Amino acid sequence: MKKYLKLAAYAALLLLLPFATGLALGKTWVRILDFALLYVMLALGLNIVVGFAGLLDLGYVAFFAVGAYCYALLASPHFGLHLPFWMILPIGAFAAGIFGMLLGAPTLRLRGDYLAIVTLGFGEIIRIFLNNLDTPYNITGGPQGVDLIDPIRLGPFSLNQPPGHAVYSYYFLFLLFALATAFVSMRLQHSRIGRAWAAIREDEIAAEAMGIDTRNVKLLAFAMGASFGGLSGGLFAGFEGFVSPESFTLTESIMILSMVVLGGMGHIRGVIFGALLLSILPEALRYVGPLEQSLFGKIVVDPSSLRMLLFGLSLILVMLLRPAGLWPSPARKRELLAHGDTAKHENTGVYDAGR
Amino acid sequence: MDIFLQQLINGIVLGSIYSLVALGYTLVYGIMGLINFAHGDIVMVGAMVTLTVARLLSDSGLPGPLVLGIGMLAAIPACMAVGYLIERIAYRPLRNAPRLAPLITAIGVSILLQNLAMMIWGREYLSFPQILPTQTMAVGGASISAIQILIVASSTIMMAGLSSLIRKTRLGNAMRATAQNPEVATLMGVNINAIVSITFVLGSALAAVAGMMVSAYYGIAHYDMGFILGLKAFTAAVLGGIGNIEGAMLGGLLLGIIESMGAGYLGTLTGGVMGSNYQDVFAFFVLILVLIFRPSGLLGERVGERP
Amino acid sequence: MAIPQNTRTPASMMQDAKLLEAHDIGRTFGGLAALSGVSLTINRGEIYALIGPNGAGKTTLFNILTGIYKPDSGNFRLEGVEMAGKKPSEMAKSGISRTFQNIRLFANMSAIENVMVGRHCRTSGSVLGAILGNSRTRAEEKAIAENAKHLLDYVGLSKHAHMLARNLSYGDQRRLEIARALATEPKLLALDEPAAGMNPLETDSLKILLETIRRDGVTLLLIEHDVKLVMGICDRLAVLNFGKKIAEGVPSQVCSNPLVIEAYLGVS
Repeated sequence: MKKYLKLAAYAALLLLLPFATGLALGKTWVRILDFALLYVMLALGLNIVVGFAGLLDLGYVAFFAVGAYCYALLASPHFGLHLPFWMILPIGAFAAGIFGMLLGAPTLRLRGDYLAIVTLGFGEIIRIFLNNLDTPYNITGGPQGVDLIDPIRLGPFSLNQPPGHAVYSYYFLFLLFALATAFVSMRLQHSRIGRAWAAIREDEIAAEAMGIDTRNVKLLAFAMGASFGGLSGGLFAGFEGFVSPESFTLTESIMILSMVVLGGMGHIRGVIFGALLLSILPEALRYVGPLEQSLFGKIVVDPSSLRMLLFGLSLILVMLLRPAGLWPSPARKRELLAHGDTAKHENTGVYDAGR
Repeated sequence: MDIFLQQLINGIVLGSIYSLVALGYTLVYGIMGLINFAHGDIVMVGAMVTLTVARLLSDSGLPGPLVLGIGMLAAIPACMAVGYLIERIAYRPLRNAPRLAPLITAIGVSILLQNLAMMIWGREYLSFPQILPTQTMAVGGASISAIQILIVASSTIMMAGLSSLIRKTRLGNAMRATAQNPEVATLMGVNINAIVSITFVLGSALAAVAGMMVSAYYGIAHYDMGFILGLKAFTAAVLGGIGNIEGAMLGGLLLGIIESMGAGYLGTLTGGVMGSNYQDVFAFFVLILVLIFRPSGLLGERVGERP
Repeated sequence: MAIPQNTRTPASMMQDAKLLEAHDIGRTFGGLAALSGVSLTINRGEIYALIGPNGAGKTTLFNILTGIYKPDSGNFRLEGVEMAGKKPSEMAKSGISRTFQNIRLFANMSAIENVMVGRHCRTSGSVLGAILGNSRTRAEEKAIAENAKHLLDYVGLSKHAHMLARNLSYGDQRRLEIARALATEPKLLALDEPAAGMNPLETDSLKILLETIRRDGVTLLLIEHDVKLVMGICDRLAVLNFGKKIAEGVPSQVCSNPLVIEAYLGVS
């Protein structure tokens, strides 16, 4: 009974939150909440790759871009296509998953470092293509991107109606998707596949020896994570109404990674916490500019670089001081006490002997 | 003008720079098995410092090459200090941590350096003062400028120096021993911590010189210039065989030539569909192809497979 | 778990007495022959040991049989199926499971989770099944957990089921590794120096465990330095020296073989 009460309280909080925020802080902040939910989805997606399977993906935003452009191209005047969102979202997620596999395939049998650098490169390359694929055929709209994207429609209702209330309707849509993402993550973590991911993260050679086809299982993690990114990308495109390469920079990838690392890799609640923290807190930095203006009479430190500075610092400090994150899972907390042993395990690879 | 010869020359110049940066990746990787994601940003610091010095001295009446030399002399210790600090603060404490940890701090350090640089030097592209003679020499239908000769000559000297340092000195011996087997090297009386520090500092010094070259050659510097450059130099290191000194030199040179040729001919080959704005894409595809077909690189013996 | 094996008729025993047959296995590293022309046969239900001085090629052979190295020449069959060159995961699926000399458990997973991972290749739960949580997946999960519990009990670790593997004692970690390997339902369980680092008490109880496993129908292959343990437990053994098999047979025979004495004592 008590459990249900608690659940009801949470539900009420989540349902009332946007209206309270709107009343107290204005619609800008409801929009920030919407984005926070998108980031929750992205962070949970990246968490599958980084947290569950222990593979470092530094170009995660590329999959977000694939999903967003899928939506943009299939539901806008750009090609004159106007498919419904329930068709495009799976297409976007699927396409992102395929990209994830293509990218992972050549690197997954190598050391994790290679995957990191290839994903880092891919994140940039996809932006170069998005920027340049407007000639000779205009596919992506080039640097201007694609606009006039159809809003998400549920039957006859557009989420952009009534005008000015879009931030509220999208809040509920995103909330639904974020909860679903969290649910799926949870189910995956405690499954046969989730255990295989964890085993690979712990000791890849032992995992392989226990009959886990490590390459396939890693590829699966990569594809799953990517498809979460693609899904969020589709929602983003429908919400924003336009997409351009500028939204998909390395900065975004780093931000999502910071959320996962800061919250606690592999711990779903921690990751959600990290995503909320890092998507809402930096918004407060927008007040830093005016503050500096009034204190020093000029902008001393550019707030946006301050934001990135904080992300960089948080990555370093968390790894040095609290490698399991601000809200680590109970199991990982224990691991903190003596994580030196695992590293020793990994270094004495039998594979080094001469393959 | 002979396009082929011209692109070959440009490629060799570009390649010499890549080689220098690739050496930094390979040195650190050879010793620690770690990709120093921040290495490209150390190059950026080198470029920024050289550029700042050159700007300060551009009206002093000193001859151009001397100004460049002074800039380099300022950049080298600055980069060495940055490299040393990075290793001490961000990597050393994590030497026994799970693999993911130093990779994440490395990327953190890279972001940190970029944004500190942005705070110090601003977010605009900074132009390098015109201090070197701009006239060119004609060679068989192509032209070579003074800076191009300077780049190829000085990187050749530096690489030769590094080679003999590693082959012929006690320090080089200790470095090679550490790369082979750190535990045994310790037993043989090698101070691992010192070797790792020296490796970082050495790589950073090369990065400083590369930074000077890039900023003087292209005439601009920018806080995030190290990112793409680092990615390409890493590709060069993998192409040559990561951990292999000669491999880094060869890989850098090859990648430079591939890129120049690609940029020169891509437009014609694809009937104008893809232009030189795709230049940055080459390195990436080279990287993917190498990883698929020859992950150990051209000169690599040990396959970089598995932890 | 228990698979009674003395119910077999002598005829069928003749038929498939041979579990693993290796023929003319060779492997070189950088021009040096680590192993050349090694042939051996492991019979069903026996404990077969591989011994030899350091550098004799035991580990190389072990790594070939468990899929970490591909042999340069020769082949080996498990129940008549060609195995040489398969990946480690395929070896496990085909019925050869292993432990590691320097214990490689999933350190930050609990003991029971470690064993559950071993069930991976005998189960089929998919991503979709996990998300939907359908009855088939749930039943499979339950079976995995029960099987794992049973195996922990079998090796005597049931009271530590929820302890992190890293926090188990050394001897218990070795046992957990065996339980994890048994979870893959091996026909041949390959143990890489299972007694390394154990005290005499732990070695004795290990011996009992290995005999129980054999009695329950799993064939065992072990590499071991502890000659006393080997002689006391194995049915047959092979001796390697300089990458070649110099003797094979029952312990008493092998002990008296002059070549073996020479290899161990270095008399020329």
